[in-house]
Amino acid sequence: MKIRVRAFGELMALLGKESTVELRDEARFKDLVFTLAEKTGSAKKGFLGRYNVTGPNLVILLNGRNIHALEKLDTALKDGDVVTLLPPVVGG
Amino acid sequence: MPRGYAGKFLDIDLSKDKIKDTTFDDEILRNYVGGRGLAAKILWDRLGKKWEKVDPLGPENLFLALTGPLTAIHPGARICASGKSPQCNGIIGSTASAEFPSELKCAGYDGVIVSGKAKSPVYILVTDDKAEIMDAKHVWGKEAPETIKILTKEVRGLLEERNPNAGKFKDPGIIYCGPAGENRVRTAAVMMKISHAAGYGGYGAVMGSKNLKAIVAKGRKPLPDVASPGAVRLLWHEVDRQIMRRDRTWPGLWGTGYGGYTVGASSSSEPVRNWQDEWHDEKSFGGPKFDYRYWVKRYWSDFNCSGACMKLAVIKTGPYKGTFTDNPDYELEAYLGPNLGVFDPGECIYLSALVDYLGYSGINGPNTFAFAAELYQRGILTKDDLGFELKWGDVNAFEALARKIVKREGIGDVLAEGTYRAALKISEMKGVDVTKYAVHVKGVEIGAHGTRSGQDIRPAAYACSPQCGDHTSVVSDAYRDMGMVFLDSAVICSFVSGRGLLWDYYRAVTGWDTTQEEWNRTLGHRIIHIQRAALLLGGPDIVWDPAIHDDNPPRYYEPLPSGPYKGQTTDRKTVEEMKQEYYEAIGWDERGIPESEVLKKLGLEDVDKALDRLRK
Repeated sequence: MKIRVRAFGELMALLGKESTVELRDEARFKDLVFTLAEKTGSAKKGFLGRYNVTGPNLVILLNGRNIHALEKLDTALKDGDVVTLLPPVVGG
Repeated sequence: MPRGYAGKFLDIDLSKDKIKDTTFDDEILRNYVGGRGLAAKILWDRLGKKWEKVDPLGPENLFLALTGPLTAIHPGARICASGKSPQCNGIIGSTASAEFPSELKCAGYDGVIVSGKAKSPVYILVTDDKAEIMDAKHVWGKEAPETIKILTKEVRGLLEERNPNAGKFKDPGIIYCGPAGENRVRTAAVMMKISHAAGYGGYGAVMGSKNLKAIVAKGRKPLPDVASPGAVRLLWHEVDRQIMRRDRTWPGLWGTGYGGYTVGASSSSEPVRNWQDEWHDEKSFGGPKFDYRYWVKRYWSDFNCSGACMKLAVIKTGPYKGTFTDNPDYELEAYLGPNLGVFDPGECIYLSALVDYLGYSGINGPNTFAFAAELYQRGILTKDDLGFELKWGDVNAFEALARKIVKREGIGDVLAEGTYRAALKISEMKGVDVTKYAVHVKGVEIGAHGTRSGQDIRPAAYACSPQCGDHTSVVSDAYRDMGMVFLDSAVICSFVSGRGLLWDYYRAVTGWDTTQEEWNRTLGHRIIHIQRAALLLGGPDIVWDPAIHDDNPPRYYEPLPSGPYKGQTTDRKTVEEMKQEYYEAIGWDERGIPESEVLKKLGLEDVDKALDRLRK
C-alpha cells in the first residue's frame, strides 16, 4: 500500500516536503517509522532525525489525528493514508 | 471551594457603581479551570444569547482579568485578559506576566469581571477581600512610566495611611491600558509593568471603552491552600531544577531575545517590510548587537519565576538616550525592526519602548504601521493623507504615525481600527483593493512567524485557530494542541511549564483527578468549541465565513523573494487538506461549523442551539 508523508521543519530537508512510501499490506505505524528512519539515516532506534518518535516533541498525525490519540505505534495503516510530521516550533 | 483557588471573583458593574463577590460551582471550575477556559464559559453564559449584537467596545461587553489554579503556585504566574474581542469579535484569551496575578490571589480574588461603563475615568483598587472604584482622571492620557509611578505612589500612600501599624507597603500589582487603549485603538494591549503586554485580542481598547484605566491589587493574605502541600513543594523544586538546568540557548530560560533574533536567517519566517520578504541577513541585526551595546541587565527573571527571559535594554547615547525597555523579545524585535525596514538595534529598542509606553500590542500595532508603510510604498497612501513621508526604516515617521493613530487624527482614525478594518475602509476610500496587503487572520494581526518556508508555523495552523492570528496557540491535531489551551486556562507561562510534571502539579494543587487524556479529548474541546462558536457568530460589524476566512492572508501565498527558501510558498492544496483533516479531528462539519452531535455529547446544548442560526 502507498502512504503519503508530509514533513515540515527540519524533517523537510531529510524527507522532502511530500513523499510516498510503499509498505506491505497490513503494515502498522511502526513499520512506517522503520522505513522513514532508514530514509533519514537516523542513528538511534525509534528516532526520526533528532526527534524521538514516541517523545513529547514530534507531533505525528495520521489523517489529521495524533497517533497518541489512536493506538500509537500499533495503529493500523491503510492505502492512501496521509501522515504528517510536525517538529516543534518556538514562539516568542 | 476547590484548592488552588482564592475562592471568589469580583463582579463589578461600572455603570451602576456596583461591586459584588461571585463564585462558580466546583463542576464549572473543574471543567473550565480558569483563565481562557473560564473566560469562554463566563462570556458565553452572559452574552451568548445576544452575541452578534454585543458591541465589543460598548458597555454591554465584559472585561475579564482571570487567574487560574496554578497561577502563583507554579513558576511563571500570568493573568489572562479576555472579553468579546474588538479585533475578531470572538473570544481570545490573552496572557501576560507580572506581580498583578499573585497580588490579586493574595487579596483573596481569582479574577475580576468588569461590565458597564464608568461616567468618568476610574481605576479599581483591590485590597484584602475588598474592592473600590477610584477616580483616575489624573492618570488618564498618561503614558506607561508615568501611570505606574503615579498609581504606585498613590496606592502605597493610601494603604500606609489606612494601616498605620503595618509598616511600609511594597509596590502593588497593576494592569492598565495606555493612551492607545483609552482611545479605543483596536490594537491596544492590556499592559503590566512598563513593557509586559497581553496583546492579542485588543483588550486594552475594551478597558478604554469602559473608562477603566487600571486595576490595582495589593494583597496581604497568603496564597490559597493546595490539596497536597508536600507534593507541590517537591514538584516546585523539580520544575525549578528543570528550568535552571536548561542551557543558555534555550529560549525558555533565556528568553527569545538574543538566540531568537536569528529566526529570519535560520527558518526564514520573519516579517520583513510588511511580510514582503521573510528573510534578512542576521549579522546586521543579531543578538550580539543588542547584547553588548544595550542590555544593561542580561539575566533577569519575572516575579515568581526562575527563567531569566527578560533583559533590561537602555539606550545610553545618541538621539534616543534615556529610553529603556524590556528585551525587546523576538516578536517586537521582528515587528519593530525588519518589518518596518529598521535594521539598527538602537532604533528598534526605541520603537519597542514607544509602542509599550503608548499601550499598543507590540505585534498587532506595528503590523498596522507596516501595512500603512506598504500602502505608501505603493503610492496608495500619499504624503497628503499622512502629513509626512512614511519610508521604510524612517524611525521618526513611524513614531509620528504611532502617535497619530493613538490620537485618532486624520488617517490615524482609520488605522486605529486595526489592519483588516483599515484595509476595508482604505479600499473604499481609494477605490483599490488593499486587503491583499493586510496580514491578519480574521482581524487579528499575525505573530512574527510565517508559513511560507515550511520551517515554522504549519500551513493551516493559523487558519483554523479560534485565537486567529495568535502564534502561541495555533492548531495542529485537536489533541496535542489542547496543551496550550490548558496553559492559558491554568494561566501559567508556556516557557517554564514542567516537562512531564504539569498534570501531576495540577492534581497536587487542586486535588482533582483530571488527566491529560481527559483534557485533550473532552475538556479542552469544550473551550475550543465555545471560542469557535463565538468567532463564527461574530458581529456586529464583521461576520466571518469559514469558507473564505479560514485561510492564511493572501501574502502567505506569494513566493518568497530571497533567502535560502527563495521561491517557496504556502501550498494552497495542503492548506485545504490540512484544514479538512483538522475539522474532522475536532468535530466540525466540512463548512467548519461544530457538529450538533459533538456539541451535545460534550453537554454544550446552548452552543448547539445558537449555531443553528448559522447552519441554515
